[in-house]
Amino acid sequence: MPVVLQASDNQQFTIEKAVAERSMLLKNMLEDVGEAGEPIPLPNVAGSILKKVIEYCEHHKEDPVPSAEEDKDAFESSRRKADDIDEWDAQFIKVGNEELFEIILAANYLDIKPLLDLGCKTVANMIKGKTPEQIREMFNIENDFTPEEEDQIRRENEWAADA
Amino acid sequence: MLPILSNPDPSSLRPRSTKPKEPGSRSANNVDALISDIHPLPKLPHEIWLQILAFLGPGALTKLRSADRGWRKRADDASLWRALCLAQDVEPDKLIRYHRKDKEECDGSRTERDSVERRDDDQIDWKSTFIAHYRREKERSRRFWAGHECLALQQMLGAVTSPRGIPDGLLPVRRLVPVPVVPCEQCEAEKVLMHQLGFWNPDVPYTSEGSWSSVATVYTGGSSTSDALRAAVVQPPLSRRLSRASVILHTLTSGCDLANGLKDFVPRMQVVNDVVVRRGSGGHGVIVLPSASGLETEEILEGILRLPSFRN
Repeated sequence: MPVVLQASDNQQFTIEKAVAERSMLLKNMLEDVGEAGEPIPLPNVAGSILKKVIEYCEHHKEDPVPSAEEDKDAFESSRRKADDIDEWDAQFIKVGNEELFEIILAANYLDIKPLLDLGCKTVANMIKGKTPEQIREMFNIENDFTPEEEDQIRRENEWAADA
Repeated sequence: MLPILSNPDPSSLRPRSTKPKEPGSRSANNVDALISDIHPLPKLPHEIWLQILAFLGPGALTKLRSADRGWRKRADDASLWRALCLAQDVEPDKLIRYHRKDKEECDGSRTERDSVERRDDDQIDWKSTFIAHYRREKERSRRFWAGHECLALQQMLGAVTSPRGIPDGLLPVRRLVPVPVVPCEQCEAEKVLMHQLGFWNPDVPYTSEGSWSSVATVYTGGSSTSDALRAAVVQPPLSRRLSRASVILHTLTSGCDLANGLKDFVPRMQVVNDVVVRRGSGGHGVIVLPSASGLETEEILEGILRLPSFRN
């Protein structure tokens, strides 16, 4: 039985149940309300982003769902590897910054852990290897430290001078 | 009067727990709370930023905290440093134990307390804990490289009496270096962790007997002191349960005394080749240094290359 999703701009998407169930939010919802066939409104997700998210779920619909326990293990051990993104995912996530953040928010809202991780890794990789000045440029922020604070930070950071 | 409802403060920057959320709990997120209150551009909630920053190592976090006040706050979040500590198996009470042991060794005094009180997670300064650990490892590494320099000098002297007829460039000097065949206590204690890190070949169950080679073959390059291409090869253990890369990884990440001995036979170039260049190639021992050490690969490479004696 297909599931109908309705984005914030009223765009509707009809998808397989297996695809919808990549989202823990939708999975729980479908379990709770049964299959009423009514469109599920997703007021937090714009159509263009939802389309992207569905594309991801379609591609990954066969993936095994990690159990809660495995999930916990993965959190401690493999969590910090930001460079193990598979090829398809890497292509998929090549989007503008604005869209990337929207995808992350949608993945968080819909509770799609692997997609959220993919988004997080991508942003982490953007930050990695950048100097403070480059980070300011990237996020369009000003250095708001007083000279005294700057001094203090320099001292506090000394331990990691060669990290 | 209205009952006072519990007020989840959205501006709170300290999450109570770093455990993964239970499935479904995200659905309860308030949309407004999702908007970061620190910067307008990256419109992500603090909770997600923390998940992003969890992929960064100490070096990157330190650079990040210098950007502005908002980033300083985020990059200093206790949950990130806690995770870095856990990834390296650093526990605060373990650190205390190390300290006590050091003290005993120094002045022969024994402290009265044998058990260390466990502190609650909340009371632990995880960042300071990590920094203390990092400094300790750095000192260990400094001694390691100092030892290497002595060995390199010996190799250079040895090269003078090497067999003739070998072209310039790689001039092999074969030496037998006794390495004690003893089980490594730390490896035994941390077997589970070492396994997770990929140090032990998962296909072959580790036993301490005979796993270590008693012989290391050392090659030096050229006879000139400026030759940067000298390379030492630690012969794969007889059982082939440990690869050379594993040994190098081990020497860099663990406190194994046996590995400390081996460190002298692994020059930096080899570390760069095995750990950095061949990273992720698989087959030759599983190399997962970034997550094992909490440092980024580039950061390690940078650090290695910046060591004064490596430059020439």
